[in-house]
Amino acid sequence: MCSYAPLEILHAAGFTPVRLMQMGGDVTLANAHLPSFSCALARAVTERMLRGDLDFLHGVLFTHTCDTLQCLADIWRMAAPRFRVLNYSLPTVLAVSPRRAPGPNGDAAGARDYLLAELHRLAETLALEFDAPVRGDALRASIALYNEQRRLLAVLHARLGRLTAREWWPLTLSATLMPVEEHVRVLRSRLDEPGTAQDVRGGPTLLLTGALLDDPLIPQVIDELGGRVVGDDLCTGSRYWDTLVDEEQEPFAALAERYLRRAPCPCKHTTREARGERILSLVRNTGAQGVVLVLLKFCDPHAFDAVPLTRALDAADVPHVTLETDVSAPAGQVRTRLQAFLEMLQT
Amino acid sequence: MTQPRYRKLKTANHLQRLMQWHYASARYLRMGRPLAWVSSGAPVEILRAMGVATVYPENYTALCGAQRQAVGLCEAAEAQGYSPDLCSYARTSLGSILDGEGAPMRGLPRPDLIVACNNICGTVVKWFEAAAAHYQSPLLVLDAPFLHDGLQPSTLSYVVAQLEEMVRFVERTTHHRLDAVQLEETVRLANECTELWGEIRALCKSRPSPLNAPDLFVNMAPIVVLRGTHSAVRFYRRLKAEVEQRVRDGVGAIPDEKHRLLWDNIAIWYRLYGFYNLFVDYKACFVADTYTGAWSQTLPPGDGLQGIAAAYATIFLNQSLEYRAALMVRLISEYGVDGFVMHVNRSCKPYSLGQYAIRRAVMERTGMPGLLIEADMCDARSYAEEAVRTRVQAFMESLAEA
Repeated sequence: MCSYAPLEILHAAGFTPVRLMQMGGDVTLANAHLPSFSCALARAVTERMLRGDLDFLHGVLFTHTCDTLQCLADIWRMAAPRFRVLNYSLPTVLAVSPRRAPGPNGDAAGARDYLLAELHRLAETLALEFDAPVRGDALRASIALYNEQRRLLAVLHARLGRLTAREWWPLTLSATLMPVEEHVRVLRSRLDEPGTAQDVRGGPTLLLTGALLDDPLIPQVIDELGGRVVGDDLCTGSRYWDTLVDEEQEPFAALAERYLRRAPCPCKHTTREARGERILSLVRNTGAQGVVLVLLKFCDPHAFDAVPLTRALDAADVPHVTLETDVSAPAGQVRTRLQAFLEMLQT
Repeated sequence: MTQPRYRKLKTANHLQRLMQWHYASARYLRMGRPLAWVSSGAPVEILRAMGVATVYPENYTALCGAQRQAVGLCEAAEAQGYSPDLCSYARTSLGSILDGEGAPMRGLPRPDLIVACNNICGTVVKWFEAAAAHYQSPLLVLDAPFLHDGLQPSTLSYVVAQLEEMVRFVERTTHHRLDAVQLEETVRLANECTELWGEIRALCKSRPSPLNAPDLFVNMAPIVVLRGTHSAVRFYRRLKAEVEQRVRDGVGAIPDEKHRLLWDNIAIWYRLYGFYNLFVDYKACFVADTYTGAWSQTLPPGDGLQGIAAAYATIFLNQSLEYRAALMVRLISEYGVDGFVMHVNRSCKPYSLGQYAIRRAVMERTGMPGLLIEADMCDARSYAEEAVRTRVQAFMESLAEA
């Protein structure tokens, strides 16, 4: 459910991890379990669970991210005892600035030991409850495979300007929806082909930021209006593939290191680099002309972060638009706002 | 403002003076002591023992809500880009930072340092980050991982490591040192305070109950903001004496108590009396609640940071829905409750999102009916007067027939 889930461990234990996303559809059954101000993601996945659409899964791993997922893990345990719910609770406070750091590597106090203990606890739970132990050599192989996927996603990312949004979007989204082996094969073959959008289209270039982009409407509208996505800070995008796991280190320690170092989500507290600085450097590196903030309605951490983020963009004279997505909201609003934004960028 | 339609406490005047003194001294009478803003679930004993004065933005915003000043401040925050869907304490607080002149008491005094602990919610992390950025104040975030299945040894060591860092953080920012004897004394005072508070709440097991929930909501302020001080201990001794007297005299908080109810979630501050009066009409008294009990956990003495870590990591809102359901079942039996009301609070996701599941479990296990009321703790714009009245009436009529 979250990009901080240590997929390498699940894979090494013999599971095929699948990330749960919205996938459209009406929400009716979930209304008896969640109040109206729960985010669309929580309501949509709960709906699919209650309908039995997820019965093919052996279990669900909840990663501690936000207040909503924290509650959802327990709601599922109480509403659907047939489901095996696992919890993995990684630290909220990740890296702190080296100036303030108590640890040698800029770690927050106790964070590395705790994260390592949680990774081992997850592996033990898989061994005990699913009879699926995580062996060291299998974990090394899984790490290498996911590293390969992340490297290929980074290459794909560098070529974004030559892909239409509808070409790029399914390739990144499927990273956590299909078996990683197959996804790596698809990425390899896709990278051998030239893109079709071509630089000749020359539409306005955009950087997308937000949580997960699981709504096909946004890439579709961007294409129709002639925009080009050249970079992203999404947890189904660069936050997923940012930073590789060190294959030389002991595997659990290497995983802990990666999850402490990767680009943080707004649910995390870090004093190392403000998120605004990271987005601005992505804007500079990708040459994006404008930033699109994709906010899921009722997603608190992103809504809080949007304020300093848009201030930082304003201060740097980077145009931006905020799209609040809500399954129940009419699609027309997203189109109108994006259209106005793209027109503004072209003038 | 609507008045309570039940017996007022004589201690009310003392409470008002105590809180006025607290806020005035935080601004004017600190005598050189640095000031920390702290979240309600932060281990204040460490700060107090290190000679740091404290204020609680959550208590301040609740006061703004009770004085019906919160909506204007929320609007000030919304004008700066904060979504109206965010926590109304956070919006009220950020509004008072941005528009200090229009805020009650001109807002809170500027902090020298800020400590936020996420054992109550993730919102305090983002909210206090925003405050720290505004004031350029050093911020320490204490991470108390949520306990889906109780406290693991690795979680405890993690929190202890952070408390050690908290001591270093306060030393770095204030140049004050932690004195072990002072910490022991602060913990002793805090425990005396929480024990008194627990005893006062337990007196409501009597029939009729000497207190109604709004009494508890109002009188919990010192346990939050002055825990670990002599003045809080003195206040709760006085309050306990008055409540004991009521029990001895057989005097109830409301006249002719017929129904005994349990409350779940934060108070509806801007309708503190208006809302609870709806129940008084049916002779129903809220004899217990899950909210004000969050401050009744004592710290193991003589155990230093280890004991403080264990207590703060295991507070009510940091525990599973199953734990919360079991607690409500226990309160229902101990307090002789015959129905419960859950405030589905738009502002508090950790408290509210799981309430449907808890309600089902508690009804199944106790046979008691439970009412859900959707509203907000501070933002009066989310309160649908007529809809609330109709729901309360329907619930109370069915309870009266049962």
